[in-house]
Amino acid sequence: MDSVGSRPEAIANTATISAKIVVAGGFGVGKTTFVGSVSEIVPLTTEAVMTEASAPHDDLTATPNKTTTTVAMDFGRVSLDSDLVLYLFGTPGQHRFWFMWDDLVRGAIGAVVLVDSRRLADCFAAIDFFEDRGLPYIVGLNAFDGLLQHHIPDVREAMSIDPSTPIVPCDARDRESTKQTLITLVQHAMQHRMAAGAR
Amino acid sequence: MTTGSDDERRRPPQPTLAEALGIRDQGPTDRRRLWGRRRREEADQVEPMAMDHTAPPVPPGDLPVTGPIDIYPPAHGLEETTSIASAVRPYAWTRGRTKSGFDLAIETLVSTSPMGRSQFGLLQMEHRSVAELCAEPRSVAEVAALLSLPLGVARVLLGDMAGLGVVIVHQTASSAGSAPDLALMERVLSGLRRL
Repeated sequence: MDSVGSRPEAIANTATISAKIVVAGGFGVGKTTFVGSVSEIVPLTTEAVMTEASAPHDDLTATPNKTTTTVAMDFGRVSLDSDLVLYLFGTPGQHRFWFMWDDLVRGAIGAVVLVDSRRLADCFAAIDFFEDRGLPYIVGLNAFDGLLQHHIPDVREAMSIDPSTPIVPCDARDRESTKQTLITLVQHAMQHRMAAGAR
Repeated sequence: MTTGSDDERRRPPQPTLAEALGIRDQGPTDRRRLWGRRRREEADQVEPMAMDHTAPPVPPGDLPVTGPIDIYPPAHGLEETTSIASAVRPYAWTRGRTKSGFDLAIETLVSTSPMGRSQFGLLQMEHRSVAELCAEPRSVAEVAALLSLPLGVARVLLGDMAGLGVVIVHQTASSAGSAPDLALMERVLSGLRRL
């Protein structure tokens, strides 16, 4: 055994489980800020190369020779226990990258859709996608400058969100607010799961 | 998913692993094309490294042997330079493969196995960087981000290393089925409350 191998925690860590939560929303709505407010690491960025798989969704008519595009997503990490790590993944800002969302949502606990109530339409694609995949989600109304621009019932109606789906006000910059939003999501996902099991 | 169409991929803004390792890139274009051609020839080959039940079925026969990836470019056509920099362009590491034999989700944790630690000196260069990074469990996404590799490359690399027994692949919340189970969600919930 070398010096690295003799560290007992390296052995103990071999049963660490990871879980993930997806953070979606339009461009500039505060996804990375939200992730960063609870992450124990500065949010990292990883890149994936988009290939022809996205062709039906991506308008390539203007650039017929272009076969690949690089998309970036931000993520953060929260250690919840000695053997449990939660990852928060921000979806790529452009809603057209469905192929990557599939990878993102597979096995996720659920999603937080961050919404700027002045630009509601930005998050429609995300909500449609999660509903289509049966992924539990909640809506976080990001209160810019601490003010909600619209009332929650109005937002619910405007977005035609199911009454059972929570809509919560949140401040992406505030760790406690982000934490509460995530708690609400996990609770909702558990209810969703139990309801699905009961059927 | 298709393979090998990364020729036009723009250079990442952050340093690549090759740069981090101090390898100078002295003239990429010609040799990249060389690799591009080779990649297309090998595009459909899958290495039989994964004995995992999630591995896609691979036809037996004339498949390459599992083992460290040859990081050196083919000798012909490279007389003008001795640099091997272009050979470690991301998808060259993976021999153009874009799929891993292991089912690695972006949040899947990997850590260096005792074997990986004891044989550290024998590992090829890029596996060493990963082994060093994964002394503590890291997710596939973290490995990709910290080594400035595209996600797909990190996946193939980690799949190879898992096949060689150099890294251990940990369980994810959804390993057992398509969605995380209630007990795990309960643990996540209490973990969040304790934060």
